[in-house]
Amino acid sequence: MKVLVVDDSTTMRRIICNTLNSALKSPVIIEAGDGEDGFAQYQKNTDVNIILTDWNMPKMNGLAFLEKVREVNKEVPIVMVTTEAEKQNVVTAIKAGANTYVVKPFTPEVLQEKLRPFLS
Amino acid sequence: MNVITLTKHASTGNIIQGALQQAQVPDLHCFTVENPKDITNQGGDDCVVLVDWEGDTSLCVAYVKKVVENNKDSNLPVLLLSSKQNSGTTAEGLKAGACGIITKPVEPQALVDGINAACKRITSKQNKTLNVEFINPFIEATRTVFSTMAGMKVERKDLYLQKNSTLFGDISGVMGLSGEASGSVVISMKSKLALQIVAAMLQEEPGTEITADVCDGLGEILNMISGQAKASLAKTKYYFQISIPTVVTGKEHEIKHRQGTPSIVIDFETDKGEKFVIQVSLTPSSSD
Repeated sequence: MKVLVVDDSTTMRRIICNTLNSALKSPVIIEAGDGEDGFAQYQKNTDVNIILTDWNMPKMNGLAFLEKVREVNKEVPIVMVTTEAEKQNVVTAIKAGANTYVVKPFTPEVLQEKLRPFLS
Repeated sequence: MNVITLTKHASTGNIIQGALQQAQVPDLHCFTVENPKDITNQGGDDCVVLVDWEGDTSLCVAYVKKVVENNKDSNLPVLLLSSKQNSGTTAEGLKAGACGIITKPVEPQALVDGINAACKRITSKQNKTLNVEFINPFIEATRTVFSTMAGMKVERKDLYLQKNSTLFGDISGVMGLSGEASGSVVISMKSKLALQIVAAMLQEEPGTEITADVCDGLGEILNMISGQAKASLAKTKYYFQISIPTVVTGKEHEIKHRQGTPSIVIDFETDKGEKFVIQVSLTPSSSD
């Protein structure tokens, strides 16, 4: 399975990668530090099976990144992993095409549970 | 710092001044007065009164009461200056409104510590009337983030107004807040705790020095605390938008806040006894 993880925090990317490595057998994980880099990585790896993205990032935020990916791919599952916990933000992300939403802070178990439908 | 010594003996005032000078207290102004009626806010905000607890106990009690009564609006801290042989009666001074005791002969550092503790206690007392509407979400978010991401239980200790811009620790995360309310939030701690937190988040052994990864981890902790607090403050006048955190390192570094915006410091302690602070400065934009 090929996963694209977009987050400006290296620590958060490592936490997510640790969770993915526990949940999946030998995943291929591509990392990006902002939405702009994330979209560039996506264009090089259009066969990714799932995308996890933060919201607040420099250069291009996660919502803009999500909208750009959805312009070219309506199918790939996209998971927002963010501190933006207000209901209005969740609704905005889902309307823009996010498949599910994980609010930071989270435990590895919560993240795995949210990802489960997309990892099989 | 303005220190007023209420005593009949000029030599006692000189000893206090000498001790504080020896302790290198910055911006020090010492005064010696003989009558409590002479103490009426002459020291401004950053002021403490030392009452020489010697001689007639009832007179000393009356002096303390007079100073407290005359300065009740400013919550002026009053400390008793007592020798060990007079310590049996100091409880009456505390009952009269004094908030601490300095033991004679005076040790410079003990004097400074006593004055600092008294000032902080008074500030905390004042803060009981502060609007906690925007502080409690930060306290709750800090507990949740530390518990969820690092498996650490943290307890809120003191809460007070920040008096200067020097922070507690040698590593601090800073985040600007904007929108309906604006200001900043800071987390500050010693390097050792930062190393422990980031290691716990990554389920690794703690490193020995502050690296870019540790700074990033602390910034992410602050990001999560602010994000959760922000969600709790949605639909209030304190609702804000967060920004990308930055991390500052170095001994006794300073972070300036916007003038006129109160900065509230919350002391925390982990279950292992490590201390850190969260500092929040937030004002509704409509009050600008």
